[in-house]
Amino acid sequence: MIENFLHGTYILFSDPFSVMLFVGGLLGGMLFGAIPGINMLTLGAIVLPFTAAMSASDAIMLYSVIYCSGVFGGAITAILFNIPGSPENAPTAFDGYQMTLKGQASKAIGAAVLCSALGGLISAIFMMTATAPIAAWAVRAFGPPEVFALICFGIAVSASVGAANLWKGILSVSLGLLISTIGSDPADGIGRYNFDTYYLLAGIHFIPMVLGLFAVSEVFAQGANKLAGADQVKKVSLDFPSFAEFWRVKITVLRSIFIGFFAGILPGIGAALAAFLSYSEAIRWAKDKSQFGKGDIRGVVASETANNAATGAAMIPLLALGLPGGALTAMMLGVFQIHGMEPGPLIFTTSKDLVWVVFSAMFFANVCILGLGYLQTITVVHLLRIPFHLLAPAILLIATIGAYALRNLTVDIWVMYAAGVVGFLLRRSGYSVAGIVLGLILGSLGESSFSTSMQLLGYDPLALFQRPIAATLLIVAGVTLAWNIFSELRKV
Amino acid sequence: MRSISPVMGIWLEFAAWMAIAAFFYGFSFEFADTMGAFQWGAAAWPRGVVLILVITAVVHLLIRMRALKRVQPITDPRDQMERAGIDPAAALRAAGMISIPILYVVLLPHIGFYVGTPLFLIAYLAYLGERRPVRLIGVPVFIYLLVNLVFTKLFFVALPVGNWPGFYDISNWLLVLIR
Repeated sequence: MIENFLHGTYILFSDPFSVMLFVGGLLGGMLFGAIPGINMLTLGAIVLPFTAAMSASDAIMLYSVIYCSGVFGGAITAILFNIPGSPENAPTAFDGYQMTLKGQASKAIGAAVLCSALGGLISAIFMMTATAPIAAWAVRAFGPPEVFALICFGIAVSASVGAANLWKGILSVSLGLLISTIGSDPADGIGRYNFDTYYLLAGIHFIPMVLGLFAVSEVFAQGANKLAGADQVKKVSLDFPSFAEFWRVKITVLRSIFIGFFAGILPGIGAALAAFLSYSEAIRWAKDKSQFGKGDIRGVVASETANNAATGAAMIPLLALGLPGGALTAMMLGVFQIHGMEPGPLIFTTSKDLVWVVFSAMFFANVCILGLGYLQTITVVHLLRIPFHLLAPAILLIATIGAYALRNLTVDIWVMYAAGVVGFLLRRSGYSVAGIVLGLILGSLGESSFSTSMQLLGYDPLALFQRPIAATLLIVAGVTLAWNIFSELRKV
Repeated sequence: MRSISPVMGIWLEFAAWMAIAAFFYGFSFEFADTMGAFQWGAAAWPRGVVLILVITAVVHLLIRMRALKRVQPITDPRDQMERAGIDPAAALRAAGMISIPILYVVLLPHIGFYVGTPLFLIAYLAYLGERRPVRLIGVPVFIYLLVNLVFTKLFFVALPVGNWPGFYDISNWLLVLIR
């Protein structure tokens, strides 16, 4: 393993262009994660069309670095403005923003820097040791029925993440699943909802959808707040937590790393569920629960450790099974497809260099977060003082160019703005754009594995339960969904 | 202006989900053939999703109507907004904010990126409340130069040059100037 790691590190740092991409991804992820209104997904979507000109190794490495730094970067806006860069930073805002209101913003950011780096580093080490064995096991154990069951499990558990309630979460995911059916069906290539147009026969392209749902809808949401006079800019300072303070939360850190890594492995869930689970477990295990939600540093520690621990783990299903754990890993899947590659167990033998360059890049990205976290806090703070209305047109313009540059088609810009308007309306009503994107991504994978499974199993859905892994996953998915529904109904 | 009542808002939302379901179910008959390799046909999966959507939307509608009658405490701010109803003035302002980029996209193939972008940037800034002339001109100039430097000069992205007489020529002149 160490030999492979050193080899990957050598490849990464021996090519100046790769180093440039590594630094660019690191700074870009942190910057985009920290600027209100945009996040690492915006950067990922903007960069995606340009990855066609890079080598597959460089392109995937760039995304893995953006993933690590972006998950951390989103914590800054969550703490300072109560604007989580993405769903995985949402629990950070619960206590982080309260700490800002109490004049402890710098302490919260300091805890986020330390815990993100620690969670990410340990996760990267786990990833290096665990991915290959999991991949070897996956070759034998995971067929289309297991993949279908895994996707069902992912959808069942992630249905409510980012939405106001379970029902809105399920509706969001369903909308994503329906959009994914536009275009050719995976079994026979029959055109669906294409209305005899060439553009729709290829399906709705992922990039304009992501740009619209995340970047454009966020600009609209922030713009609406600005027009209503609800936006505000706050002051910040820098003050890392002391060693004694950090030592007091050591158990929370260890528990969060475990939760983050476990949740990160599950496709369709990734860092978002990791952060939520870790936050709720921190409350469950705390002796004094009264300060949670009022500015308890353990809330920030739990959320930020877990979401960064999930980044390394999320690479396992992506690389070993070809299943994305979230929106950014789905973009990585897109990068693989752009380069005519298919992630899966064979990638560890066919593209060993690529895999270890990615592992090395993620390890060093987390090391850099520790150092750059300090630099970022004292520099990005000034960017955060730029009024949002000055940033808004630039974000829209870059998103427009990103959508158009994909295929030089104006229709892609239309799709992006349509997704932006839909995303804006749904977010204001408590629906989850992350759910729509997850449905969009998992929909085609799910349908493809379902149709293949049914052909293999003689069109008997109950035969799925004769396969131990598939049966376990489907039962756990069913129980999870039933429990969520029961909990939701109890509130009524 | 009167706000749209919460009950009306809930019914409108439900109607929107039903319209989506009806659209996907209705058009699924165009490819409902079951003669292919997959015996259940290409319509089976989308219809299954439509069924889940309809069931969830109905359950959600019933729960919300019940919650409105009971006037339960709502913890999520987005649900609080829902109970307060939709403010038409805010909706009108939001519509204006969304219309500017839409108009920009409509005009983009005709007037081109190089002519249309500065106008869009100034219009959007002004709509979001910027009134200081230095910022109103300076920020769009900075963004325009930066974007062109990165995308036109560095990445050679072929952006629309327009097809209306005059605009095409100006765009090409600017394009040559930038490159």
